[in-house]
Amino acid sequence: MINVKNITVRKGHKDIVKDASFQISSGKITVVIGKNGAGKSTLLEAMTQSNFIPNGKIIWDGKNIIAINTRTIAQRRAVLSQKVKLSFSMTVKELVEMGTYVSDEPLPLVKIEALVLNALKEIEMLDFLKRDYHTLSGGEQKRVLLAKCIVQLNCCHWADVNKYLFLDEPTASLDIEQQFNFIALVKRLVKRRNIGVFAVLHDLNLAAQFADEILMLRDGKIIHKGNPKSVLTPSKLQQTFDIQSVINKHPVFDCPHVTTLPQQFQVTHYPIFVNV
Amino acid sequence: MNQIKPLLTLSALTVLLLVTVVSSLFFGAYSMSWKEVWMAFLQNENDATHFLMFNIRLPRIILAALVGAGLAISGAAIQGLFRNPLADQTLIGVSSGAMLFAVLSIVFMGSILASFSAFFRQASVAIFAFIGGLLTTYLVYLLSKREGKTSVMTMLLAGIAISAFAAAITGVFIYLSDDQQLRDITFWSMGSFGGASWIQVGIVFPIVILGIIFLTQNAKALNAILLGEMEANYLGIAVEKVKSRTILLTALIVGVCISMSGLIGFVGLVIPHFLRILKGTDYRYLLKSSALLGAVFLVFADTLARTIIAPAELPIGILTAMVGAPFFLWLLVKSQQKTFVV
Repeated sequence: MINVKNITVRKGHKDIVKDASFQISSGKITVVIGKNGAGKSTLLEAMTQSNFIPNGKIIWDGKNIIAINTRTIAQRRAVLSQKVKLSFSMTVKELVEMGTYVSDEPLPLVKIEALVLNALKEIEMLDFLKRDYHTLSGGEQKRVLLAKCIVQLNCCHWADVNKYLFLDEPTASLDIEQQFNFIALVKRLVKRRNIGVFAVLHDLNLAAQFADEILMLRDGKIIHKGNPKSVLTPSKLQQTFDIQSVINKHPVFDCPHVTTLPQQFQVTHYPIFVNV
Repeated sequence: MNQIKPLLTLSALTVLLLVTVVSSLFFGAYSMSWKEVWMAFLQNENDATHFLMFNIRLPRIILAALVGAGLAISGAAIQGLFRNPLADQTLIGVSSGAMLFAVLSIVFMGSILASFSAFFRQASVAIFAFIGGLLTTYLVYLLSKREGKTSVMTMLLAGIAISAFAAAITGVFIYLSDDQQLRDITFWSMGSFGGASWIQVGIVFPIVILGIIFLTQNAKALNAILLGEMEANYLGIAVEKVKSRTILLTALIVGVCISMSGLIGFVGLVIPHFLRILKGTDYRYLLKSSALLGAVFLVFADTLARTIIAPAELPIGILTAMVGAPFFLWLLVKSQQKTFVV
């Protein structure tokens, strides 16, 4: 479990994250939502970057993050960034293989090969092994980066060590089918490996289906947290995003379905649209 | 299978280096036959060919190989660290600093040491150049450090500004120098292995070899840094440590190399690129193969330098650019710039 206690992150003269406290548990998906500039990505950085120490405490499986070195943290968590731009060309294999860099000892080539192929199979991109990363589409690049994270998490095995995956807007450049596949894949990882996930998401309905717990961030403060059913309500969405919304039961899944409406919209008129 | 190919490349380059070194033994102001070379190794020390081989030609070839290896591996490391294909060691100020201090030595120490032998004057230039290179790099590094972190972008800009400033001061001293000093300065800035001795080899050898060993230990870290510093950190790389270590090592290597040979451009930029186009970016092989090919290239260029207009010599800096540039352009056009994302 990662226990975040009252952290504040200051950049320049502004507190980007203010006094945030929450927990990330193994086998659970925690999603943070909020407006642009609310501090979502900064919060994620503060929790993943070991050489960057915010005010407050981050207790990582019982140990203060400051006392854990960069490599040890890397062996326990992987981070999927929004975008990675390479300055030189590199093949998919070379990139995915970097997940094994977290190992303390050099791994046998056979094991590296197996880890890479296994991860590429998981994202259904085995044919892309020798492709140049630059020639891939945005969505394909995202999945390759996820494969690197999978290798990183699979690389070192110890009993009783929890693994975590951090995702920064993972579905942003994916098409609709890939979004579903991606979420399903991450859910599988969570279930099978008991990984704890912390994700920044923009799509409220994906968050509703995906999350065990949702944090609502406004101006750097966590104003609400709880399971999707308890926090995805019109009043809490209003406070977080300055929008109106209508919440229904999702027609297929057991979660809320959010319809967002602009602030000026007269909600009383909405049945007319339903009839259309 | 994929692991075998790079090993093959490395062994092929090693063989190529040996072949180049051995064949360069035959050429020079005085060309030797098979028999003469063979005899030079066997004969006693009073013989002229023996003297030529052991006191002039052999140290020169070894020095050229070491300097080539040092410059090429430094270029590769700096390009990776700055994530910029246009970078080379000049970016961290080491070349311009060395130049400035070499000129200072030639202009000021020249008259002070006038009564001493040429050896002392040369040694003074080398020591000054080495100190100048390190001092300038340190200044650039200090300027780009803030709150314990080094900004690569600031470093790049600071390097350019400091280099320009050093060049301006160099210009002032060149303006003040007399004809003989001007000649010395010009020749130093075009590079030469003409004065190579075993003492020089003895100084360069440990620094370049240790430098290569330590730099290659950073290979994985440099690979990870290609994804960005944040990503490297996510992969467990202590980025700040790698940065300062790489900069220190390259400054040491390049400093000691150009203090012995004068300025030799092009090697640090072209050799790593050539290998990248052919063999890809993986630093675990790129660093080693750059060192090998850099050595081959300078031994070859130096052999040309001392034979083309024998018994006179061409400055090697002219040759590296003259041979390297057209070849590199041809390669660029051929590869249709696929490897570069600028």
